[in-house]
Amino acid sequence: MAIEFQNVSKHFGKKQALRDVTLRLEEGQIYGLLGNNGAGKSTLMKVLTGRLIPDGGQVLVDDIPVSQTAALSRLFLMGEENLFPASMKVKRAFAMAGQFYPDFDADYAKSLAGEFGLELNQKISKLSTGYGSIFRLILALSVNTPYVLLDEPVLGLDAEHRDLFYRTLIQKFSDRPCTMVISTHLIEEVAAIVGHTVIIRAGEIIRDAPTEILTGEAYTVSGPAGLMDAYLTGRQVMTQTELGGLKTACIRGQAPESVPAGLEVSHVRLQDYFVSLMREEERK
Amino acid sequence: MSRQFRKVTRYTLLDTINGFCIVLAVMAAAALFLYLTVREGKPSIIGGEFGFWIFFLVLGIVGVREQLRLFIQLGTSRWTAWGGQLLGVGVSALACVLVLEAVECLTSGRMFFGIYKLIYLDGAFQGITLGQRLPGLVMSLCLMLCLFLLGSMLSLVFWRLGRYGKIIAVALIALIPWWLGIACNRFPAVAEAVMNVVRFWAVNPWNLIGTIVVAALVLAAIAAALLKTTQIQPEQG
Amino acid sequence: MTFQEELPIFLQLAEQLKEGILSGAYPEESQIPSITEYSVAYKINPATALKGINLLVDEGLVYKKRGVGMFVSSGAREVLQGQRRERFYEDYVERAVREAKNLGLTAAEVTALIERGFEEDGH
Repeated sequence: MAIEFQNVSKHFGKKQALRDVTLRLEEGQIYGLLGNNGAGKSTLMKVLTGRLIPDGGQVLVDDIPVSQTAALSRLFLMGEENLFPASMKVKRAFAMAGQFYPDFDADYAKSLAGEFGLELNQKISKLSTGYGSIFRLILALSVNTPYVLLDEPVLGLDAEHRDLFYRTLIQKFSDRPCTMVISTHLIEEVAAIVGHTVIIRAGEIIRDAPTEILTGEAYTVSGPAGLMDAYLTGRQVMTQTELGGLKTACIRGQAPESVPAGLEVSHVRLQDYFVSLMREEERK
Repeated sequence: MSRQFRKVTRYTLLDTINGFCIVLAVMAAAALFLYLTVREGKPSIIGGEFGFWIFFLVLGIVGVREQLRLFIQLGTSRWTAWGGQLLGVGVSALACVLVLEAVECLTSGRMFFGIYKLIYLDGAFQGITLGQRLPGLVMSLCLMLCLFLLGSMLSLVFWRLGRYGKIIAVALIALIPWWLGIACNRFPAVAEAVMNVVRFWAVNPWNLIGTIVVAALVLAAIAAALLKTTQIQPEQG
Repeated sequence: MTFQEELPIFLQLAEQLKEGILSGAYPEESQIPSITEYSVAYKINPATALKGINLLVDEGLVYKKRGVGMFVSSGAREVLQGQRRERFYEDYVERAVREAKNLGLTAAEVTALIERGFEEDGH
């Protein structure tokens, strides 16, 4: 039971948004789909949910092609844009979700709306950017489909709502395990939440592994520049920065038990790993 | 029929009938106004059916995109969405046709819709048998569906065109009567062919109905081909 | 608790739990929060929280009561104190000595400082 992308390609005019993407997303995980703006995250999710038709390859959900309702009804995408009719009210949208998704939890949706402060009688087109996101994420958390996809879920949300969202997401995932895919360019916010990370760059998947393996792939060392230069020779340095005689470097490899005196070692944060990886890729 | 298909049909049915009732109410208000001010025995509205033809055309243009977007968000494929919509529109059109006929009878022809009757029955609206009414009802039904499909097809075509593509397309379409006129003038053969077609229709209403049905099928095929590679994008702006 | 970059999150969680047991915040035979409660509170993946708690389960400091939740084992506090005692030299003394050498303090000076510490703290 999985989502499978098989050699999926998609271009928009001259831009190649997805290049021969092959990817498998299995059940019961929170995935992070990380990449810079324009890397192809949204395109990937839109191809998955039948909104965009790929130029090549195919996408399957539980072995069913996504051209069919049987596949699409197992997914819910909280996209960046609203696809509901502009004049429709939030209340009606919830009701429709209940009709099309039999496991939709209307009471839960209502209580979330209360917690986030979402007006049920509002027209969807009149919602602000933030509340538009809140409206869609409440739907995503209430439909109870086996696969839930969130494309930049915290767009426009203030700090309090972001916090509430993450806590609600984790509670939801804990109460009713499913497969969640969060695509975002705000990496450090989700770093502790995503158990599996997929990194996409220029339409290609460059990393696909459990998060802890990726953060175990590199480590950071910092200290006086002189000592650092000695330490760095012969090591696979991904990035290095220097400020006032102190140098910090991100090194590929497993973090050592200890480092020479005067240097500090720490496990790399997902965001730093990501940035270093991007810089490395750029140099190629 | 899957559950989603039924739900789409139901949504379309309610949405379309809602729109139809509004149009009918507006026409009724206009008819009432005329009746009160003119006070003659003649019909107050003639050929009001034309308004409903436009209604179904516009429904096709606007509704196809709106529903594709809505239902793809709700985990329903474009095929289920479009198919369910077609069925919903078909049933709505049937209801519309019957309601218009009923209103015509109830208002003793003051609200006179039947364009079919105008053309084929010299405007008679009383004393006609069911057998005589039937082609008219079928023709209206088919025409409404055909116009919906025309609207859908045009909408799907325009959805893929860029700004300039749209302008060119609109210009080409608007000039169709002009092209036809020139062709008839320049080439007597074309004028002859057009006359033959009109005669063909005039001879038997079922000929016209047949043409409408064929046109509808062709439009549906084109629309389906377009639908296969349509990118379902949100509204711009 | 904020997460520093030094240790993986599940280890930090485990350490924090151990602190709680040692300090008496989690008395023996009392129930500790569930995996869900931890992961929501700290905004971490439940699998990570589970990993952290399982470290304590493996060490026998915490046990699972079917259908009820997780409880602190009796004797856990003593076990932890024993562990900490063994690690005292590595965790504190080695670093203090290293720092002292950096600053040029002698062993006698450091000992005097330690004795001062015991007096001032009052215990």
